[in-house]
Amino acid sequence: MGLAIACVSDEGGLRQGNILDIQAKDASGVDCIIQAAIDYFAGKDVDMIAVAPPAYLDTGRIFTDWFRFERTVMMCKPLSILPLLHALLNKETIKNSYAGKEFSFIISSEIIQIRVTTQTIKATQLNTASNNYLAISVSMSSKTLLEIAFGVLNPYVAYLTRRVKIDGLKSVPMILKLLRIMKLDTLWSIALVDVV
Amino acid sequence: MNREPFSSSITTRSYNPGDEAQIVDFLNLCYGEWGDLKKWRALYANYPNFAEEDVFIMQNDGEIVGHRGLHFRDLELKQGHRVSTVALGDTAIHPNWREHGLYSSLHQTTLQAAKLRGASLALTWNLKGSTTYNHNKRTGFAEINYVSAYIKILNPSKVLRAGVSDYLHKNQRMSNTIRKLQTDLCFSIGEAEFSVRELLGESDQQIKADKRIVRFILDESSLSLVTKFRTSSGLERAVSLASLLLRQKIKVKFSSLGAFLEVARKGVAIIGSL
Repeated sequence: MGLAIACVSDEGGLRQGNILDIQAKDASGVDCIIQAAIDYFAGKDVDMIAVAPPAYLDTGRIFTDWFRFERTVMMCKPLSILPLLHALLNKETIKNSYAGKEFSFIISSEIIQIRVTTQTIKATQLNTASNNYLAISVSMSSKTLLEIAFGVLNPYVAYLTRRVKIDGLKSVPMILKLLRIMKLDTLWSIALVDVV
Repeated sequence: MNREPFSSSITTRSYNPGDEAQIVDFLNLCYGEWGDLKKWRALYANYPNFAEEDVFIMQNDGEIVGHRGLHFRDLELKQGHRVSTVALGDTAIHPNWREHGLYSSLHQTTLQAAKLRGASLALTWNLKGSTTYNHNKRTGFAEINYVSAYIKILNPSKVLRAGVSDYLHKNQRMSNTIRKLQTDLCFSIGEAEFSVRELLGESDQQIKADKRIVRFILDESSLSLVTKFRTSSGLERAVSLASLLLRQKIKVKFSSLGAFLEVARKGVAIIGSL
């Protein structure tokens, strides 16, 4: 039993068949559903078929006669830190575990003060000239923030390599745990058929 | 809406209805075979949340020399929280205006506009190692997700043609080197053959009459290296080609002594523009 979502698009003068998602009960199911997708595309007069397989698939076995394409990289840059940081921290786990705590996040040149209650996460942007920091301050670049948020960088490794700086040694375990919780746990990407 | 001028002759503005045909012609010029009006309308004008301010056009005396489209989407997190994002797409600079700083200006202008419209994150997809990827890394973009794609080629000649066209339209130096040749370069795979000069939109009757042609005859198995060409370094490309020639996965045939002598004489320029 299996499921594949397929579509046809026109890209750069080529008619391209795209397998957007593959789900199957077992290895033989995967083989069958991929062959079914290939047969489907054969009737659609496509020039090539593309698939970005999910991580769990044994790509070495399944795609032996396919070409592995160049690596496409999703890149990201923050345009505004405050709403991003507020969204990342606005989790029930953080409200429950860190209620009553206050932090200053210094992300590149922007200073965001965070106050946590059991009901809310309040984020306020400070004037960069202000030195009215709250007791616990955490510094990192915007690039490091994104890498931690998207799970590309482990916050403990970031701290040990001095990409994250934390004032107050006693606060280090608490802050590193906070950064781990902050990680996005929603897998998302822009679908290959969306030309962006 | 006119924006502040980049220089005395170049201005940046938003899309106006009626620009579509010129935009599509421009994108096809820059990308090779980008698509048609129907595709542009589907991506932009007919897209549910499209606004004219989503498309930026750079102009020089009425001619489009730069383009970028912005796609605003909300990233939905758990518990209903949302982050406003903007995806950057269809960025193109006219071949005659590259390396003049237009891309940097367009990049800065569009990111600033997106920020003013409430976007917190800018997203883009790039081929690892490409010019845009390298620029984005230098300007603060983080790599956050990798996709390894697999492709099965069903129509090798069409795929090869599209790949060569894409490569030539992105490599100005190579295109200019080929245009200066008095010899045409042809690629063939299976029964199909195409001329590089025709891909560049040029057809020289004199060259055809003189039959100065160099044919590159490719084996289907060589396509795996060709698919990696665009994001390889110049050295990697040269080594790949040499390897294919030695293994006879690519054969080269010269139609005349003149063709051979010209390519031999200008071989360094050709390899240097790889």
